[in-house]
Amino acid sequence: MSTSHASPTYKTYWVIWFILLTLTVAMVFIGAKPILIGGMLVKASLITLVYMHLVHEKKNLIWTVMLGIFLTSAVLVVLMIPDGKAM
Amino acid sequence: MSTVHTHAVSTTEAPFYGAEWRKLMMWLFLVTDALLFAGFLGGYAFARLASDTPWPDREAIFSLNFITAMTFLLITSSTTMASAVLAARNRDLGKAKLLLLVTALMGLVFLGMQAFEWTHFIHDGARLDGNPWGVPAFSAYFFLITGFHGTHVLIGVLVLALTALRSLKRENASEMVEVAGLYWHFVDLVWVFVFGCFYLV
Repeated sequence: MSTSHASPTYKTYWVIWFILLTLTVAMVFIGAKPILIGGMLVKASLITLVYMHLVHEKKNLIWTVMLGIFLTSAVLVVLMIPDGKAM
Repeated sequence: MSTVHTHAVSTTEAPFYGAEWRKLMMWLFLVTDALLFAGFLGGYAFARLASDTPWPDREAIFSLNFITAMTFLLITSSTTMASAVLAARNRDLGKAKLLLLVTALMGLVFLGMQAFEWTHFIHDGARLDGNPWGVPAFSAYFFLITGFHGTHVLIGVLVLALTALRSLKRENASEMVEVAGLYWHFVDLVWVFVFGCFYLV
């Protein structure tokens, strides 16, 4: 178990809860695309880094997870979105 | 002190990652599972961009307030789950059990709300192969994506109940709760993208 970062407390989790709810409300009421995409990415990062403690894991694990998801997602977007637009 | 086992590692520790192996396996599974949903949402984006007819107006079809309430519920359940992991780590097992069961209950309510939403959607004429709004891919992707997500929630509820009722008695209770928690947070994580991509964008 890593103790290099300050260990989260119950309070940390409820602060994150408040941020996640605020972001959700902002996304619903301000429907602009940049806010939606930014909101999704910020929410996803908060959940993985804080709730799933990814920030406390070993660097190897962080890289394995991040590379796996981002690389393949990027390939999906690059291959499928332009094709969809061209149809 | 034994000289033979100087380099032996505990069975719950993988030397390369320094993370417990159950946790490592769960992370690797979650990466592949994330790719499943990335594929679904990528396919959804493709179908939507390639559609000749304009994509149906989701706000007119679904109650966005209702879906937002579902989102709140799932986020809150993720918070109680994170708290359960912390309680188990502090060996406060009674609190961990309560938080796990509360989390599972919220998952069940979420499933109930989803069933309610599906019922309405089907009642309005939506089918896997067509719908009154003239874009068959719309309802097909709706059932596919929310169906797969709902199945994940259902499995999550079972995992949480099993963890609360059985795994907490084990020596490695805190590790078991953490692994179950990773799965549950992932379910919430997927919903962030389903909610954003399907209902809002």
